[in-house]
Amino acid sequence: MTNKTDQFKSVYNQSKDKVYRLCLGFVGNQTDADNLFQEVFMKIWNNLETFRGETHINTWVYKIASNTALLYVSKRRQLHQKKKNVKAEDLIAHTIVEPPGDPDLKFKQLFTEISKLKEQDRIIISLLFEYCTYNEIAEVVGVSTSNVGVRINRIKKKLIKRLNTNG
Amino acid sequence: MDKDIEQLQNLWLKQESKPFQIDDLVGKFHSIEKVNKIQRIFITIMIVFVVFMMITYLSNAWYNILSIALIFLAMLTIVVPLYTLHFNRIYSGLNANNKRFIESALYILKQKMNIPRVHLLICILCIVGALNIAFFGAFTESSILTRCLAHGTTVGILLMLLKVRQYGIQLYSKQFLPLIKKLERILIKFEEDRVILNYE
Repeated sequence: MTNKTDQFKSVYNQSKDKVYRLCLGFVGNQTDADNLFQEVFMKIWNNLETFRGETHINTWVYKIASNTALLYVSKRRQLHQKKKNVKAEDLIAHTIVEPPGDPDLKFKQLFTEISKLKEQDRIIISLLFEYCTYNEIAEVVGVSTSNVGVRINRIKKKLIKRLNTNG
Repeated sequence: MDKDIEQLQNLWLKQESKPFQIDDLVGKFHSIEKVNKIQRIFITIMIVFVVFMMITYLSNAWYNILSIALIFLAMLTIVVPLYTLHFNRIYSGLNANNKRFIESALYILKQKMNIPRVHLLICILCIVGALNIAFFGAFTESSILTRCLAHGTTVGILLMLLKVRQYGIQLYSKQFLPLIKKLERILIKFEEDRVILNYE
């Protein structure tokens, strides 16, 4: 087994759940989340040699995951626009319909509502839920720490309002 | 509100990834890496072989040397931007923060749009120019009709290649323009939010 394979497996085991949640929160449905998840780990594999330990491995993984997600949604919208002339937001609303009789509706609703936020807000709230500090979030997103603080308050209010309205 | 958020966070953390076969995933990545390596070696060998054949097979007449130089230039105008855009920028950009990544991705996508528009046009003109120069030298002793036919075929080749370029422009526009617009929209939102939040 090569050193790269070992390193990859270690990163995978350490961050698979975090990355999957970020993917699901970003796209709002499991099919796309599965595809995005694989795409993220493929990018991690391809970039593993570029990790120099300047930042924490989690921050590095979050950067790759969120950047891949930013491009992924755009590609998906493009693909659907080829088929039908509809907005991606409308598509999300269709694709998040879950099988009937699912016991944990609020659980799915959370990911659905997060996926309807603005792209950078989805990333920020996902990172917050993963116990990232404001500094780490600022480093991943590329805004100032104070900006992150103000934005988090807004996202929290918006998310709770939406969940209460739709719940 | 913080209690609500805490509850949401607990819900969020309940979600786990699906059980992927990590060894299968690594195996898949290894095979993709292998294929890419073989492709790169094959392309390099092909280019070296073609250039070597042209240099050794053709005489050292000025028209042959000029044709070879133009074909070499044509190959470079396509290979260099494709290589630099694909292998250098995308991967270094992924490690950057979201804002820098979007800026870098936008730059790459816009440069990629130039490949069929500008680089391919230069490449086509070089190839057709090289063919005309080569035919000019090769058919010096031939009749006017043969020479006209030879140069006429290059016009046909030019039209065909321009059609291919047109198709390439359409393909690239379909593939990259929506992505460029989307990323530009996200970047504008970034800036708007930054200005609003700083003002507050």
